Amino acid sequence: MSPAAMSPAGTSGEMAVPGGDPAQLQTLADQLEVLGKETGNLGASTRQAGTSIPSGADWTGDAADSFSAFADDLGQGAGAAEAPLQQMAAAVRQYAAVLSTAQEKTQTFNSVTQAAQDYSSGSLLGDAEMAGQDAMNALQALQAAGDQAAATVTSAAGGLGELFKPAGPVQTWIDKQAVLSEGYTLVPEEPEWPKGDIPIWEEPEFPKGDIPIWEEPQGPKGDIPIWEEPEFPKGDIPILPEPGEFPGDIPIPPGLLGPLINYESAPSQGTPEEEPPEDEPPLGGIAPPGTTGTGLGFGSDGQPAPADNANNYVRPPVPGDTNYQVFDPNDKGITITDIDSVRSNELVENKSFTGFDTPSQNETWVQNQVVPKLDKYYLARQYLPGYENAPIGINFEQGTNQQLQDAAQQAVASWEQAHPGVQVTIYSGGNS
Amino acid sequence: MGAGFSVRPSGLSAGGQDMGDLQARCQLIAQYVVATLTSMSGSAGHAGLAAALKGAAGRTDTVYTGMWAAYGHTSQSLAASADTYSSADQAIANQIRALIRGGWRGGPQQ
Repeated sequence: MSPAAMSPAGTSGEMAVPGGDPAQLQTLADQLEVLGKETGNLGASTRQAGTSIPSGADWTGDAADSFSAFADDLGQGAGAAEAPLQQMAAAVRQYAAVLSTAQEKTQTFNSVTQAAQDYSSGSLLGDAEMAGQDAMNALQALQAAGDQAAATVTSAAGGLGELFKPAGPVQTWIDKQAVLSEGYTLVPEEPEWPKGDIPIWEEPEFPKGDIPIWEEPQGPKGDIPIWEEPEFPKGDIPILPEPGEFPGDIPIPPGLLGPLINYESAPSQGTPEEEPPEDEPPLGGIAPPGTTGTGLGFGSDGQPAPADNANNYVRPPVPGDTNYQVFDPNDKGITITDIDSVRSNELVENKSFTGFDTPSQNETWVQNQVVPKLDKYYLARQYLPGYENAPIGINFEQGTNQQLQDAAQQAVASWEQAHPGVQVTIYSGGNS
Repeated sequence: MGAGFSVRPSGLSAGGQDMGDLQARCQLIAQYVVATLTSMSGSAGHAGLAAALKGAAGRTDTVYTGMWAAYGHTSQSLAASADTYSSADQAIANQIRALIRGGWRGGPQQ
């Protein structure tokens, strides 16, 4: 709002209240601050993994050193993203405070002016003039604060582009990834999928209801991708799930991953590297048009169909669903859990871990990775029509060693004792 | 521990899973950051700031995508190495068993 657009103070005109939502901005700034800390934690965890993984595997030599250097560089880069995010949060928070004041001052002016008109004695004209001047000053301050915040945000965003050492292992690797250099992004604002590997966005055979979406699904809307409106409704600000709630396996876009770290020192008698399936969705179930089995979980006939990443805001689970998301019915910003596999009468959590060599390590792993999942599945069932009393399965996809099998059985038995009437089955390998 | 190498493939496999978890966290952070910045842009009420926030959202998306891919790189590499070591270990063990069953034909003559 430019001061020139306002009516002169003390006249009969109203002053336009500047647009924007300061309360929402404050909340979002808080959210961004939390995310900044979260990325800082991510960096710390990554650096720690860079040393603990080789150590835990008794892995030494050039390959191990190469991995540690890569992880350390990656962790430093992830951690370095915290500062720019905090700068942006602070800039927006400061601007929001000035915006709030400006809105308040203009509203005050409008109220006083109205009162001055209602009481034509002229006794309030002085107050109106004073309020008008206050409002003018506040609007000028608002313009300056907006400009300042914009400059800070732009500068901080520029800092995000310098997270990794220019000649370090991570940046060097990223520079070699053709898909990344072509502008591939996690959350594309424009429908720019790499041509060739993935059907183009304009694909006319995009099945109805199969809308690629990762937030605020509102039911099938036909063939229209809705990337253009990624804003959350006011007050519905996403809350980060707890670490254990983060999604599991995330498909890799074709061509993004190849032979990676220099592991030449590893023996070469292993199995050939597996190529990702060509029809794999690029990210977390966000599938481009033309693919099947993902999206909101409705077939072309509008009936529920097994899907990847459907959720309880869209429809109840159906057998065959994978990675079914369960959100808090009262707050979609809160994720309760994701169900890896929905069967006809069972909710199944998949695990690819095969086991440590020592019982204590396996017990710790089970307590951290299995028991919390059982708790969440148990909590989620009440929100899943048809599955309110469904048994729960833990499927060790690649089998387990005996120690892990023992630890899992013991933990499940204890858990079942604490949750009478809930049946948990452990599957191992192909025995599911 | 296997017969041929000191490396424990199960440790590498678990490490690959750990890095996969970190990759998932990275993706989630990226999605929330982009959504938050985009929502900020819509609530700003100041054209310059709104444009800056929208630009920041795009930049964040790009940067975190690279980061996410790097996590996937480590995760898959560790998993592949675990498989490689495991297979090699097994092959050596099989060779030893075969040698034993064959009566050490290649050993010293009686």
